[in-house]
Amino acid sequence: MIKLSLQNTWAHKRRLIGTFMAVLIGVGFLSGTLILGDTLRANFTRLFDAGYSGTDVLIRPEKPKDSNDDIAQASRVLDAATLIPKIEAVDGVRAAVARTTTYGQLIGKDGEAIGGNGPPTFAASWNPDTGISPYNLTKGTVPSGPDEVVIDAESAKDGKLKVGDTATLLMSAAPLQVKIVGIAQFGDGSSAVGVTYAFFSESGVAAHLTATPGTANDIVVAADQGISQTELRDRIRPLIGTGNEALTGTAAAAEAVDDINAEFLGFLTSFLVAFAGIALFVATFSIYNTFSIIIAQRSRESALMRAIGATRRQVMNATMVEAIVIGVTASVVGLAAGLGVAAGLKGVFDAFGLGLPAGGLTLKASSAIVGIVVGIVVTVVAAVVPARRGSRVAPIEALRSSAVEVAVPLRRRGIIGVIFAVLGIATLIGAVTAKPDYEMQIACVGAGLILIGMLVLGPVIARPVAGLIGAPLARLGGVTGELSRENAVRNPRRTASTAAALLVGVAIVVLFSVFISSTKNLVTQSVNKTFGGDLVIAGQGPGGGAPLPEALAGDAAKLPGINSAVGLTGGPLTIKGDANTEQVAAADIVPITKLLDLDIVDGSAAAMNDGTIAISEDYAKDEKLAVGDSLTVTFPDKATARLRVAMVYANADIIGPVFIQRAEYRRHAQLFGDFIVFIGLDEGTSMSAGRHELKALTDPIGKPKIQDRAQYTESVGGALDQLLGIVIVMLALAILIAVMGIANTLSLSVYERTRELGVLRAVGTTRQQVRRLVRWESVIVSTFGTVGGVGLGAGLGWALVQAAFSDSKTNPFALPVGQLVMILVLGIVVGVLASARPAYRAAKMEVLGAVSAT
Amino acid sequence: MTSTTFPAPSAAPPVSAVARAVDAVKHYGEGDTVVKALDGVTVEFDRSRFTAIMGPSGSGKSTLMHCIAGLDTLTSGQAIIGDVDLGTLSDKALTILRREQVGFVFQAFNLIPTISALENIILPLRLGGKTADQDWLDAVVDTVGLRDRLTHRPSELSGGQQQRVAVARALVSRPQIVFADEPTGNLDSRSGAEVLAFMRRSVDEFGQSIAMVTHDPVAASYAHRVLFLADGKVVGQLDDPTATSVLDVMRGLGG
Repeated sequence: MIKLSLQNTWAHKRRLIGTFMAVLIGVGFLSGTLILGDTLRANFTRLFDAGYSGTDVLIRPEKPKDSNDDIAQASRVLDAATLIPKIEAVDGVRAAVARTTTYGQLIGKDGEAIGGNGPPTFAASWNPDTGISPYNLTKGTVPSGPDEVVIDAESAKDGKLKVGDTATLLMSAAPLQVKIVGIAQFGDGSSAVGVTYAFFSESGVAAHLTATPGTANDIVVAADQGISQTELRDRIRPLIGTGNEALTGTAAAAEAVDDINAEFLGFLTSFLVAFAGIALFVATFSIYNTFSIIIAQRSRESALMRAIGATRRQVMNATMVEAIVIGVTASVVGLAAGLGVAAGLKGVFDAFGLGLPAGGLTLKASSAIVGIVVGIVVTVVAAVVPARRGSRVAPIEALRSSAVEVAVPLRRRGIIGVIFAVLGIATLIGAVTAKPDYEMQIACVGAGLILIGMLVLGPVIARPVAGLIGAPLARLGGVTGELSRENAVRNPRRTASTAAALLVGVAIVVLFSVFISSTKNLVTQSVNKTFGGDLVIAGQGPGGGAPLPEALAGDAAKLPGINSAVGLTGGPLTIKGDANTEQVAAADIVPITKLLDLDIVDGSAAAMNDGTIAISEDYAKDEKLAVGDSLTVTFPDKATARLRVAMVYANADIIGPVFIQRAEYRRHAQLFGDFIVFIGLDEGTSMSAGRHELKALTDPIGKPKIQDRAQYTESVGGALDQLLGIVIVMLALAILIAVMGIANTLSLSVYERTRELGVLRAVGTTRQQVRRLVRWESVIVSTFGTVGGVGLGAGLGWALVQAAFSDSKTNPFALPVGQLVMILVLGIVVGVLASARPAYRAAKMEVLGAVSAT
Repeated sequence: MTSTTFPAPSAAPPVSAVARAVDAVKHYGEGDTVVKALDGVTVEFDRSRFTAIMGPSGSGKSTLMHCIAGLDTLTSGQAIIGDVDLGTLSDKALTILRREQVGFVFQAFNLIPTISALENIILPLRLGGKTADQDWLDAVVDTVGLRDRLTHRPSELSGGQQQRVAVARALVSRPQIVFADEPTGNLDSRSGAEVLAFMRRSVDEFGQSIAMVTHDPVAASYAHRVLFLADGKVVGQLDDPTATSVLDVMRGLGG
């Protein structure tokens, strides 16, 4: 029996190519993603191990358990001047070095800031102990004067800077002119993934990096020979006082790896795995279809097997063996393809300058197993329903002269589908209108139910819908168009499940498009509504890029033609003593309210003195606070204060939920410069004049962008466009599988209709007409899937937008009409592409052979 | 015999041949395994006559028909319809010739299952972008006796009805000649008789020319003339045949 199945598989290999490719692509992407994750994790581990190779014990201010916020941590300090002598006295300590690390970004020879696209840029203390620092001086000398720095080799290369040059170093307070006296290389000379450093001498640290003399961010301890890290840590631990913690170098390295996993790799991997999952989901339709058709085509053969004594199980197993063979081979080949996918993705990320560590691909057994097992399971699961159906064939079918296509009643299916769809729509509408807790999750359940309903209903609506889509073809295309339409509706199940793959892919693309364009709409609306000034100077915020020197706003305000310039900054703030750290905004509140319309509903900006805080209306409602109430907050320097609510504002779009006077925050936190400076021009000053004035200030500090209102709005939304672009590229894979599914189904249909095509050719259908016949059928199916997908995606997108932005005052729902039209057009194009091979093969048929085919 | 109610399909002189094969040779395979399906056949099919082609399996009767009908090509020699040598035509020209000059009736699977009987009948016309001449269409449909079944799909028709639809389709474009390949091979004798009677009527009443391959002496008896083939050669012919006379000839040929 198994031998027969294998022979069958081999005999049908051409027909199984589509299935094979669908599994291969899905598994290739899945395992590629996993391999990429493994590789990056291994490379980061190597990198951090090198970075911490000289660290035996690390002492630092306590880091909140759930926090991996580097900015927050960098703003916490310990009293190094007191601690170092105590630690040095501990038996087994070879050396203890205080480290200070803060924001600092070099300007290259070309005037552009170096680095900053993700990986941090640092100004830090130069560590003279070569056993501790992972950086080794390769050129020049160590820094000694307060304005002398050693820079890392990569920054030197990128910025074309060399020993002896004077360069600008952007720092949070003001730019600093520094003299480069040396160049240092990380570890063994491998890349430090785009992290840049300007190292200062002790006098430089005191002059420029620390607010309070004697403080540092952490202390690195090197052990004497023969003492273990844990042993030394335990000896030091009692000495460090409360609020600080000691951990081994190994633990610190592991934590760094965990952090990068949590904030970047984990997200990246799940993001990519999600798309691999979608691709595999779409692939199941293709597999299901192929097996359904193959089994239908050999139902007489199966009946013969049954007639001569094969059990149902044997007939079914024969098919399952085929599925397993396909699953195994395609998954193994897919795994190999995955290595290529991983290398390709890594290349793409490198090209975008994401700064990933170097190193070859790492293939872990677990990833390989997951890829292969998922591939096999998907294939087998998709094949099991058709296989079961095939095994139910009555032995008598073997004796029938021709296989009659039985039209299975679709009523029951229709009822079940409607029930699912109605339940889903009710859930969705309930979630949107009643606004319960977890409304987003409930809305997603509703969306899932609707999708199931659509898939169940597919075959029921395939006939009328495909007939409708085909109507213009029948009118324009004459008899060929009519035949195409009839072919598309003759087997509604097949048409529906072929189109379903495309439907799912398109629906997800449209869902993302709608969601992202609505988010963008919301953002631009709120920016437009809030921002009342003329220009902004955009730093790129704490997430990356260059913050603006604090002095910039003040300098800008003094320029002729500039009415006001206000910088916005912020940082962590722990409210009510729990671990719930909020990102607080900080600015000079009275001037900023002249440029930003915060819609103050209670209290006033003028009332915002020391010891007060402003909160958003939503936050006030959630925490049951009002003007006059007090809040206990903990600043990054661990100072605790009770702040009185003096202002409540409704418009939190730019500011966020908590807002505080800059001077208040500045006393307790090391500021990293401004995220953005808002500019109001004097009346009569033109935009270009204003820009011109500001340019003189921004040119020496890495040329941050000066944007007018439209550019500012666009740049805020631009990141979303980029995200949408990435999502669509990822989904292209699922669409590709869907298209291959259409091509495969068509090929099988063409094969099935060989005799019919022969008759058509015999009675005078030209080859061109045959090609057109197949092409138009394909277009009808692809349009069916695309239109359904656009409709479903837009509907679900609307509901999810309502659920996600239920707090928003305006309805941000925006239909990206241009994109939707493009998707519809692409749907038709895709149909034409999918028909290429089947149409060619149909037209190539020899009339006589086709007519007499059995 | 020529009580023509409708004009004959062609205005050519009545005695001339409507289709011919001249020294037709068809080989399959090469070298030692070559099969000579046709070994120098020269035949003529008379206009407005019903010609049957008979012979044992492998005699070349189907090959002869396929080649003259433009479904297959000769190794050497000529296949001619009207005065067109099919060997000189491109695939596209051959297709158009089949659409306009030739009608086909196959043993089975003649019809496109997705369209109605009427649509099947007018399919060749519509493929060429033409519309049916309503009077002619009515005449054909009535002759086949299918008026009440025109809107049915092929799967809703009996085998005999399906074959009659196929014959109607072959006639509707008024081809020079209709080729029928065992048109009754899949039918019971009563349905077969209906189809054959209808084919004969189309010759007698409309002046249609028909060539039919069959191995059934009763079917052959509906023809004006029977050609006998064996081993790729014409080995005899019989005018105004009856089932008995055909059987006699076949016995004589050792069939």
